[in-house]
Amino acid sequence: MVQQLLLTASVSKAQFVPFKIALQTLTGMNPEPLARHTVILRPRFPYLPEKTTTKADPVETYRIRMTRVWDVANSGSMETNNTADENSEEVGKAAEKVENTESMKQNTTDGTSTEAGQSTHTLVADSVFDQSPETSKNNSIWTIQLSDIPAAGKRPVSIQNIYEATIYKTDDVLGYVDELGYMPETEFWTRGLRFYYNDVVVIEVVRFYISTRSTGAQNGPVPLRPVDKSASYHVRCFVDVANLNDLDNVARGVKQLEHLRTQLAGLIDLHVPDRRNMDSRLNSHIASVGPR
Amino acid sequence: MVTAVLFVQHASPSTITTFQDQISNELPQLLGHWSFELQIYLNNKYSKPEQISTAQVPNRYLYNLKLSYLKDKIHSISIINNNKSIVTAIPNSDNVTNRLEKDLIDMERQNDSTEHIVKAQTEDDDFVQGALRKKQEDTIEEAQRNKLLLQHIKMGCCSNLSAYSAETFEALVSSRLQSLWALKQTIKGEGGFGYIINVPLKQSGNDDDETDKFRLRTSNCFLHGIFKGFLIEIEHIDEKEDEKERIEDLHHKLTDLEKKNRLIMRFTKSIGKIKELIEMYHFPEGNLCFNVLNETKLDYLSDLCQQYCDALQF
Repeated sequence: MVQQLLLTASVSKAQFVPFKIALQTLTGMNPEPLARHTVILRPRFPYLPEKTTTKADPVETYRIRMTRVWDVANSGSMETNNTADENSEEVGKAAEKVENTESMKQNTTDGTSTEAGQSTHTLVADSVFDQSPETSKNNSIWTIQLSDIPAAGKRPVSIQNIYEATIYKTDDVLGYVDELGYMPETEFWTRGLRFYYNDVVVIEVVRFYISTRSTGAQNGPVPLRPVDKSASYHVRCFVDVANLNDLDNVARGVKQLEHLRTQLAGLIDLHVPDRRNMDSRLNSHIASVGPR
Repeated sequence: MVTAVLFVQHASPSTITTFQDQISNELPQLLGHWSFELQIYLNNKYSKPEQISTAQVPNRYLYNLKLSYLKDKIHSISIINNNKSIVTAIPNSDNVTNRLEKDLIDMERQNDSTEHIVKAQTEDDDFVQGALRKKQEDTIEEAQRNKLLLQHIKMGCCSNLSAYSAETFEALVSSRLQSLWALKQTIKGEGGFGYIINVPLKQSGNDDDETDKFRLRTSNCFLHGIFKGFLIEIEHIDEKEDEKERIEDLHHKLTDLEKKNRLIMRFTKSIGKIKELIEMYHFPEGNLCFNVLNETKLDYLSDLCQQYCDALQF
C-alpha cells in the first residue's frame, strides 16, 4: 500500500506558459513528457450480501484503475479536415513542444517536424475496447490501482491509500480482469509534463482526453478530444510514501508540499481536493450527499 | 522450457532422504535453497447477478503463487479458474534501473574487449543488445520487457517505487476485494533445495556421451503448518532446441501451423524425457502434473503455476 500525499490546482490556457517557466525555474529541470492511458473498471456483478440485523456490512466494493503507457509516437495523430475543433489544435501543445525539441536535437537537418498549432491534428489512441487481434493491450505492462477515499478531517494535504499491482506479463489482460470479477467501464488518456521538486515532490501538469466515439466494440485507434472544453490544465503535486508507518517521510512530504504551495502562491492555488470526488467506492453514501 | 510437478502425498522422511541421496550421486550443480507459497482464494458467492441465488453460483478459484527463486522484480503468478493468468511485479525502480545499468556496463565492457559484435537490428535497443551478448535463457524477451517497465515507471503509471515497498497483489485482493474473493488456504513450501543434473537417458537412442539436462527442485509442503507431502519440480532444459527455435523465429521460417506442431512435438518429447527420468531414477510415487494453461502457447511461468495448482489439491 502506498500513501499518496496530494495537492491539486488548475491552470488556465493563458496561464500555462508562465506557469511552465516558473516550474522550470523552480525545479531547475526541463519537464519530461508524460502520456498515459487509464481504464476504469467496475465489478461485473453487484455485491448483494444477506441483510443482517447486526451492524452494517463493512465490505465495500471499489472501482479499479488500470494504467499503461500511451504510446503517442506510435499511435500518432490523424489528419483531419478543417472541421477539427479549436481545442484539438491546442491539444497537448506543450507536450508536443517538448517532444519536438527532443526530436529536433536528434535530427536537426530533418525539417519534417511541424510547428504545433499550424497543422490540424487530432490525437488518436488504442482503445481498450478494441476487438481487433493486433491490439496492443496484451503486450503492454499495466498497473492496477485501487484507492481508498482520502482520510477525513482538516489536513494540510490530501492523504490517500493506494493499493496496486503491476502486471508484468499476461496473454489476455481483459480476460484476467473478467475472471477477477471486473469489466471496463470507461477509459481516458492523460498527456502533459512531469517535474520533480526537491527530489521528493512529483509535479504533473496534464490534460485529460476521452474518445469521441461511444464505447463498445470497435476496431482500430479512436480519435480523442479534451475533456475540458476550456483547455485548462490540471496540476497534481504529490509525494508517495511506501510504508504506512513511515511517519518521518509523511511529515517530510507534507512539509515539502506546503513549501511548494507557498512558492507557487499567487501563480496557482494549490489546494486539498474534495475527498468526496476521490471516492472510488460503488454505492458510496458520501459521494451522493452534500454540495459538490 | 517444459516443466512438470510431481507431488508425493505419502512421503516419509526415508523417501525424501533416499531421493536426495540419489540426486547427490549424480553430482548435481547445486542451486541453493528456495521456498514457495501458494494462496488459494474462493469466490464470494454474494457477488452475482441479481436474479441468481447464491447456491447457483459456481465455485471459482484464484491462485497466487510466489516462488522465491524467480528474479527479484517478479513477485507472483496468479491464475483464476485454471483459465487466465497474470505475472505481477514490484516495479521497484532501484531494481529495474540497477539491472539496466548492469546490462549497459556489461555491454561497454564487451565493446572494449571485442570489436566483432553483431549489431542488433534496432539501433536504440542498447539494453536488448546487452542481454543478447550475455546469451542467457530468455533474457532477450526479458530485456525488452524490462525496457517497457522502465518506460512505465518514467510515465508515472505506478506509484509503488520505493526500495522498501512491500506492496503486493495479494494485499490488494485480500484487503479490498473481499466482496469478490476470500482466502481459503495457504500452502507453504519450506526446506526446499534445487539441483541441475546431467544424466544419460538409456531409451532415447542418444549417443553414449549425450546427456539430458534437468533442473530439479524439491520441497516439503505444509498446509497451515501440517506436513502434507513432498514436491518435486522437474524442468527439462533443452538448450539445443531453444537455440534452434530462436534461429527459426528470427528468420520467420515457420507458418503458424508449423509453429504449433513444433510446440506439440517439443512438449511431447520433453514430457517423455521427464517421465523417463522419473522411471530410471525411481522417483517416489506420486501425482505427476504437466498440464499447461494454454495449449497453443507454452508459457513457462503460467504453466508452472498451473502445475503447482493441480498438484497441491487438498
